[in-house]
Amino acid sequence: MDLKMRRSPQTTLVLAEFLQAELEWRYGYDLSRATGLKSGTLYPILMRLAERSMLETSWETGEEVAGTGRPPRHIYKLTRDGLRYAQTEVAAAKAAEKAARRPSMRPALGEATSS
Amino acid sequence: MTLLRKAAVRVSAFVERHASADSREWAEGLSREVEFIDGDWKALGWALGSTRVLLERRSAIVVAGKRRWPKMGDWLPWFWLCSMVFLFATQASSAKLWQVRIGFTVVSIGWALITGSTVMAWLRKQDGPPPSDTPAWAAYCRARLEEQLARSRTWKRWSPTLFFAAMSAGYLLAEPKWLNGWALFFAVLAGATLFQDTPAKLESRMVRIDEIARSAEARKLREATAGPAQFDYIKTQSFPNLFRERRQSRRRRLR
Repeated sequence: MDLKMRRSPQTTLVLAEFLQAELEWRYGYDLSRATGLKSGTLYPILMRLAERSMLETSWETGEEVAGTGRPPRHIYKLTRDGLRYAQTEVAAAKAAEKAARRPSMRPALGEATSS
Repeated sequence: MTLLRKAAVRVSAFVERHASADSREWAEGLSREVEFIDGDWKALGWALGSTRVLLERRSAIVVAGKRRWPKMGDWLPWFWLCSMVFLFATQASSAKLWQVRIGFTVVSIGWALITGSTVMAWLRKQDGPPPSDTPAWAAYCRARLEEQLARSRTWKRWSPTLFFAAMSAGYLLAEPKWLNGWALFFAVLAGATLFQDTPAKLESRMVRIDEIARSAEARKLREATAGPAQFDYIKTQSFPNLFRERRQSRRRRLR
C-alpha cells in the first residue's frame, strides 16, 4: 500500500488546523467550520490520514457526554507521526507560498542588456 | 424537527446503513455530527456530503489495490441501461392513457434501479481483495454472505421478487397484451427469486467457503513455496460449478 499522502491544498488546510491545537481532540464539524471544507471533502482526507496511522480516532467517553443527554461524538487527533508529517507539510506549503509571492529576480524579457 | 432536518437525519442513517464494514465508524461519526449543526440547510448539506463515504469502500479484511477506471466493455451495458431509462421515461411523459403512463413510469424507475445496482455491484467487485489471496477472499466472501443471510431473514428477502413482479406489472400496464415478452421475462425472474438465496442455501455456501478457507490455509502452510492457490468467488456462488466440483472430487476419490 502506498503510504504517501497525496499533497493537496485541502489536506494542508486540515493539517494546519490540527496544528492549531496539537494535543486536543477535535470534532468533525468544528474542523469543517474552521477549514471551510464540506463533509464530502473533509472526511475522505481524515479517513486517509487514519489509514496511514497519522490520525487517531475515538468516541467521546461516558464522562464527557454524561448529563448532556446527547450521544457520543467521533473525535480526532493527530498521532506523533501525523504531527511530524503535518509540521513538514505545512512548512513546505508556507515556503512554496512565500516563493510564489517573492518578485522574480530574473530580468524580464527585453530588459537584459548585452555589454 | 423540521422537514429538512428530518431529511438530513434520514440521509445520514442511509449512509450509516450502507457504509462498508471499515467505513461504518466514519459514517456513524458523520451522522452524529448532524445533531450539532445549527442550520437545517447546513445539516442537509452535511448529510448529503456524507454520502461520499459510501464511495470510500474498502474491504474489512484487505485494503484492495487501486480502483481501475471502467473499460469500454463496462460502460456499454450502462449506456444501454441508461437509454432504457430515458426511452421509457419519454414514453411515460408522452402517454395519454393514465394506466399506460403509470406502467411506463414504473418500468422507467425499475430500469433506473437496475442501473444503480449494477454500478454498486461493480464498485463492490473492485474493492474485493485480490483473488490470489485465497484466505482473504474466503473471509471477504463469508462477510458478504453473512450480510446476505441477515437480509434473508427480514422482509428484504422478498424485495427482488416484489421488484420483478412490479416490473412485470408495469410492462403489462404499458402494453396490455397476452404475449408481452418483457412482462413474461420479469414474471419468470420474480418466480426464480422465490427459490434463490434462501437462508438454508446461504448457510450451505458459508460452510463451503469455510472448507475452502481451511484447505487454503493448510495448503499455504504445506506448500509455502508453491505460491498462493487460486480461488474463484463465482465457484462458491453458482451451483452448477459447485456440483461440478463435487462430481470431480467424487471421481477422484473413486479412482
